[in-house]
Parts: sequence; structure tokens; C-alpha cells
Amino acid sequence: MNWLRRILGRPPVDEGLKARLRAWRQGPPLSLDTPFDQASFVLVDVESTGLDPSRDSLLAIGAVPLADRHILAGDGFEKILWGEKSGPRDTILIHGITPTAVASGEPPQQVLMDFLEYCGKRPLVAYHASFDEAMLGRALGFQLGTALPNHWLDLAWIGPALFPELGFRRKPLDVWLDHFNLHAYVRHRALADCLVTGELMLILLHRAKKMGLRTVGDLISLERMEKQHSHGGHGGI
Amino acid sequence: MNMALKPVTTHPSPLAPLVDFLQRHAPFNRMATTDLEFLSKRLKLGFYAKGEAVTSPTDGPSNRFYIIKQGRIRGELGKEGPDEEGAWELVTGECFPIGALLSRRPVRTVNRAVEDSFCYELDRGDFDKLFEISPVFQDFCTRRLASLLDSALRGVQASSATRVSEDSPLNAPLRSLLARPPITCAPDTPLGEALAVMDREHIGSLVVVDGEQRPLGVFTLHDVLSRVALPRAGHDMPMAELMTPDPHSVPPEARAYEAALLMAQHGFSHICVVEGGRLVGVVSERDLFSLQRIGLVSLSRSISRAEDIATLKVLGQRTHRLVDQMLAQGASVEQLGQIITTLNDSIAQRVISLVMSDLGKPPVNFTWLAFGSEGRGEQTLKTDQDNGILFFAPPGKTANETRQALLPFARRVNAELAEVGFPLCPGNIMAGNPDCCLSLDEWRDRFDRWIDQGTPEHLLNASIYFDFRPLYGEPGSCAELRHWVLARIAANPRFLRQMTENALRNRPPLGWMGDIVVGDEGLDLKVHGTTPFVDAARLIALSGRIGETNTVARLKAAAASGVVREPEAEAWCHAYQFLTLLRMRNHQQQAHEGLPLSNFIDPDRLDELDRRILKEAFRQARKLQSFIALEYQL
Repeated sequence: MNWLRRILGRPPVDEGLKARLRAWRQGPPLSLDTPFDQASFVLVDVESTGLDPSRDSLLAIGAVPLADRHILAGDGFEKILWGEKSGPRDTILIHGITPTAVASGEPPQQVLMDFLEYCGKRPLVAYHASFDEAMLGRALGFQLGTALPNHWLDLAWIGPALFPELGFRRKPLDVWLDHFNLHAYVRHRALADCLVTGELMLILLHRAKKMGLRTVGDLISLERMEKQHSHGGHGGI
Repeated sequence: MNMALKPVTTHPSPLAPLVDFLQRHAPFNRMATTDLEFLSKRLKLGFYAKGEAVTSPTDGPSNRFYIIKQGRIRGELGKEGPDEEGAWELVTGECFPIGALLSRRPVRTVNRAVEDSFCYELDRGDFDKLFEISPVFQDFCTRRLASLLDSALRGVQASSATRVSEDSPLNAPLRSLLARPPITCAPDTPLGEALAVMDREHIGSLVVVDGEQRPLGVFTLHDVLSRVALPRAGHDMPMAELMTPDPHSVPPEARAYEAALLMAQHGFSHICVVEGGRLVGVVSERDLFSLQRIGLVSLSRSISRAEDIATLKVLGQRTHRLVDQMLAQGASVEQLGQIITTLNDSIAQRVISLVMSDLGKPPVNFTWLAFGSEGRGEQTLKTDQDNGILFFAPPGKTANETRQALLPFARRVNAELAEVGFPLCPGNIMAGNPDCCLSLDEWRDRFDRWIDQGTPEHLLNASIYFDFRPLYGEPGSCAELRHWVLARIAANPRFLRQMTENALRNRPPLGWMGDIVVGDEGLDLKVHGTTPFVDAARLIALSGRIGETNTVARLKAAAASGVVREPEAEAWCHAYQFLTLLRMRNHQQQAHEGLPLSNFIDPDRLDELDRRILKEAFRQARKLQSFIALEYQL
């Protein structure tokens, strides 16, 4: 049914949402020269019906800000999107979002708009960020007709760049969590995953600072270099 | 169905991870839901790498409240830098720096991360607000600051089925803490069945044993998350593949604080107690919570193995340093008292053993007695010796002959104790004095005279000697003497009245308006502070045939036997403990400034909170004195 809905058209964006979108777009952009010690980031994690961003749908968004090298743990964002289905049974076992929960979720446009306002123009951070970026990008395009211009930081690249001695390149998040003895409150729940990813980020920022990095831009360059290095050294992914 | 993953049926609360964490730790577990929510919303999480300072006296007035989420934070005094021995460590769920925040001053210690640590942090403004809105939090901070009560211990008692006795000494054998037979499963038990057992029994851990009850591994609630939920382990998976193999175990004779230390060092929450290779019980962190932080295991071991007096002297100084650090971190008086008593007892016992191996064992059965504050287990850092000997003359020897055989040994012990750091008693209440080295009959005669005549000197003696406690040797004869004293006094109301009169001589320094009245020299925390409580507790114990010698233990026993009402006894204990704490802090400060130790303080130099509690403590002293005046008809 999903493909049919996609073809039949997007849901209309009402005036209220349009005004909120305009206000959000006018928010001040982030300067990449901001020291990461003082910058504010948003850790993001999404849950979906599957692992294919082009076919699976978004079930939940979790996010939590990280500012001045502290996770604003009490200011977390976690919302379930209203939908008709929660995906196949085996993924329910992973993310724990049941059909009942999905049926009682909030309207997707509402959740996505809230999420945009929550993030502002702050850089977004995730582990394997490309997946979250793709899932959110498609949902935002479909529901609100907008793209997500924020910078993304991917700890799956930044981690190995800062801790090359661990040999964790292309390793899943759990390997990092094990190594640093970090424990998620519950794994594979959007906000809980954000919180534990945030703990990893605090450790990474501590290391980055020790290595002489200073600004948000430095982190973005570091990620780019690690990707290039990885592509060059291993003949691409 | 997958039990490990509880499906969400309602909207998840973004605060759930925080609230859940807080609810596992005192005092947050007792806070109202709305206050907990207020707190959760405002918490930030910070990371401190191993060796990094979290707070430092040079940061200026404290502006953040920290709750340790993970890791260990050590308090370091002054400029000495890291100290491996007996430093005071805070672990998960503990908070700092309450005193500095409430008195708006910088912290006194550098708080440093011992390992990579995460702390939840609350800005001072929010801390103040929480203090204002939450009575539970306010109560916790006030008590913690004054160390009026070991809130951790109280938390354990209220919530744990395996109740740890409040009097349980640091060196209680683990056997005495094992409340129920261990719940176990076999290595081939399927996961589903194991989870059902844990759920039914309300336990956080399950020990996997073989047919011989030998522990093979441990499976904890924590493992449910990391090894079951995460890799989506099936319900039929055997425990052998999910447990943590080769669990750490200790024998049932091991001491509570040794187990606590082991847990703190390795981060275990459960330890198997094993006897002859077989599992006999499991001790959890909760069972030991109040002892968890004690870092004295190596110190006490070194004392009992010291080869000579010089070594003991060094260890004695380390005792001082340990107490110093604990005091700086706000340890409770009860814990400090137990630790000082335990360590001083082991030092004295070791001195006696060393003298015996040098001079040869005296050819007589004797018991070494401690009197005065040592007898009550209430020594502060600077305490003179107060001791004596109770002996049995062997057949064919007179008491006097026996005494002569013992005195050289006793004098040598007195001298060595002085060398180690316990000054000689100016009043000569020491075992080397022939008047203090007596047979059971002689002690009875001497005590009988005091009880009969009750001159002022006798009453003064009674206040020192009647707090006797066996420190070395066979304790049976000591118990016999106590039994006799209690019976004798109970039958002599005149002596009780004289003691009451004596106890009322030191009035708490409160004026008509309830303000603190200070003499020219300042306020004597011993004479006007603790002594009224000590004297009254002794009176209540002696008249009620209570064998305890410790002031707090006496008051608690009196409450248990219905002599005094429980809430009043509790308030008196708190007041007494607070005054003791002030005294110890005062000594500590004097020692740091190189001044001679005294019990005088200037109340104007106390901060507002301490002064308020001080006043309340004196009010309690007044209540206690009215009680004994009424009870013993004065």
C-alpha cells in the first residue's frame, strides 16, 4: 500500500505548518568555526520498519541535545509516528514498537515539524548517520516537502579516526559500547540509543580535544578525511 | 513472545531512563514523582576521563551538584596528591558536594575521576529549587551534611528484605548476612525458565551451578539487557551460553567490608559465598551498601601482621589519615566510630601480642579491659589510654602474687601503646597500675565500695570504669563482672539518684531565649556537648540492666526494651552524633593548623546550618536531662 500512497500524492501541508516551516528555515545557521566545546549538537536515532530507506517507513524519532560537552539528558525527544503498520514481526522484536503503539502515535507531520523545531540548525549526530539521514530525508520530503539542511556528523567515521589504535573501522556501535563499558538503558529504542551514543560522543570529544582539534568544522573535516582514507586504502566501500 | 523486550504500549516518556536510574538510588527513590520529574528534566550528563578533576577548591564557590552515573570519584585532601591507601571513594548513585553547595563555599577536596566516569549534573539554581520543593531531598541533604544519620544504611533497611543490622560491625562475617538459601539453576536451564525464576523470586541474579552446587557462572538482570535483548537470544538458549563464567567467590568467614571492597574494585554487584567448593549464598551490593566504600581492608590487615612497634606507629598515623579523609567526605559518625574503634582495637591487640612474644606469655589467664571512651568505642583521634586487667589467680597463688607476675607485662604494654600514639593516662588508669590490675573478686570489691558510698570521686570513677569492655583475652569473666555490676546497681536506687545528680551537673549552654550561651574561652563541645548524652545514656543503661557500653547502642537498646520512646531515642542519638562530628571536625582543623587539640569552638565561626543544628542538639540534651531527672526522681 505504501507505494500507492506515495504515488497518489503527499498529504497537504496546512497554513500553520507552513508558517512554522518558514520560521524554522529562517533560524540562524551554525558557524563551522564554533569550538565544539561550546557548540550545541543534536544526537538523532530513528526506528523504522526495516533497513531499506527507500521502502521502509519511519516509526519513531529519538533525539537529545549535547551542548558544552554535556548531554542535556532531561531534554530528550522521543515520538512515535502514527501509522497503519509497525512492520514485520521480527523488527518489532528489535525496536519494541508494537502495532498498538504505532496506532496510538502522533500524526507524522506533527512529529516531523516538532523534530525540525527541536533541532533548529544544530549539527545532527548519529552512528551510521547515512541511514538516519536517508530515513528522515525521505519522510520530511514526503510529509512536509522540505529537505534537512543541517550538517551531519557520523560517529562511525569519527570514532575510528580518533581511535585508530582500536581497529574499530566498520565495526557496529556495540563494539564501541563494549570497549568503553557503556550501557544503553534499553538498546534499539530511539532515545535510549541517542543517550548512549551521546556518551560515546563525550568520550570522542575528550579525545578530539586532546588531539588538538577545536571546532565543529575540524570534526567534519576529520570525518571527510577518514572516509577518503578508507576509500583509498580499501578500494571503496 | 520475547520476555526480555517489554513492548511499548503507550507513548514512551523521554525521562524514563533518568527516572529509572534515580529510582534505584537513595534519596531519589523516596522522592515524590513530581519532584523526581523536576530533577530529571534538568539533569545534564558529563564525562570525566580517568585522572580528570571534577571539582576542585580552586574553582570558587561550588555551582553544580553531581550524581555519579557510572565510574568512581575519589576525594583528595589538600596538596598531598593521589594517595593509594584508604582514600575516600564515591561510586554509582552517590552525590557530591552537598556541604559546599549548601554553605555556598568552594569544595574542600579535589574530586577526581579514578576511572572514566559519567556524572549527572544539576546547576546550583536548580539544586536550590529542588532543596526547597522536595522535603525528602532537603532531609537527605541536611542529614548528610551533618552526618546525623547514615541515610544509605536507612535506605537499605527500608527496602531490603535481607536486613543488615544497623549495628552490624564492619567485620561481621558474611555468613551472618546470608538471609536466604541461594537460588540457582543448571547450565542447561533454558533462558525462559531462568527469567521466570528471577521474576518470581524478585532477585537480580541467578547463580548457575553444577550437580555438586559448585558455581559455574552468574547471570544478572544486567545481562538480560546486554546478552538477551540485544542479540535477541531465544528463550530456549541454555544459561551456559549467557552467564558470566568463573564467578568471584569468597568464603563465609570473609568480612563484610572485604566483600564490599571486592565489589567496588571489580564492579560486581553480586558475590558468591562458597564453602568447601559449594555455593552457600549470594551477597549483593545492596546487602553491603553501607560498607561499600570502606577502604580500610589493607590497613587492618597490615596492622594484624605488623612485625614491630615501629611499624604499628606508622600504621597508626595512617589510621589518622584515613579518618581525616573520611571526615572530609562527610562520613557518618557511626561509621567513623566503628572504623576508629576497629583499627584502634587491632592496634592494641597487636601490641599485646608483640609484647607477649617478646616477654613470653604471662602464666595467668587474663582479660585486657578498655575503659572510658575506648570502652564505649567512642574514641576520637586523640585519646589517652584507659585500661586495666581482670585476671584469675591460678590455684595455689594469691591475687597479689599473680598481680606481681602480670605488672611488668602490663607496664610494657602501656609503654608501647604510648609509643604507638596512645598517650599515657594522666590519672593513671592503666593496667600497669596495681589498682587497675585486679582479680574478679577485687574488682567487685572496688566497684561495691563506689556503689555503696557514692562520693564525688566514686561517681567520677564509675563514669570511667563502668564503661568497661574486653579487648583481649577471654571475654567470659568480663561478662560475669558486668552482670554483677548491673544487678548490684539496679538494687541500689540511692546510687542511681547520685549518678543522676552528677549527670545533671553539666547543663546544655542554652539561654532563656533558646540562644547559645558562650563562655570566655568559647564553647566546650565535650563538657557541654557530648558529656550530657554520654552520662545520661550510661545511667539509663545501668538502671535498665542494659549491657551495652556505646552511647548510641545504649539509647537504642533502651528504646528497644521500652525504657525510652523510640523517636526520642533516635533524636538523642542524632544530636549526640552531630556534636561528636563537630568535635572531630574541630580536631581535624586544629591538627591542620598545627594547633594543640582542644574541644573549644567559637559558634560564630560555624556556618548557618551547623549553628542551627547545634542549637537543636542542645535542645535535645535538655530534653534528655529532663527525662532522667523525672525518671530518677530529682
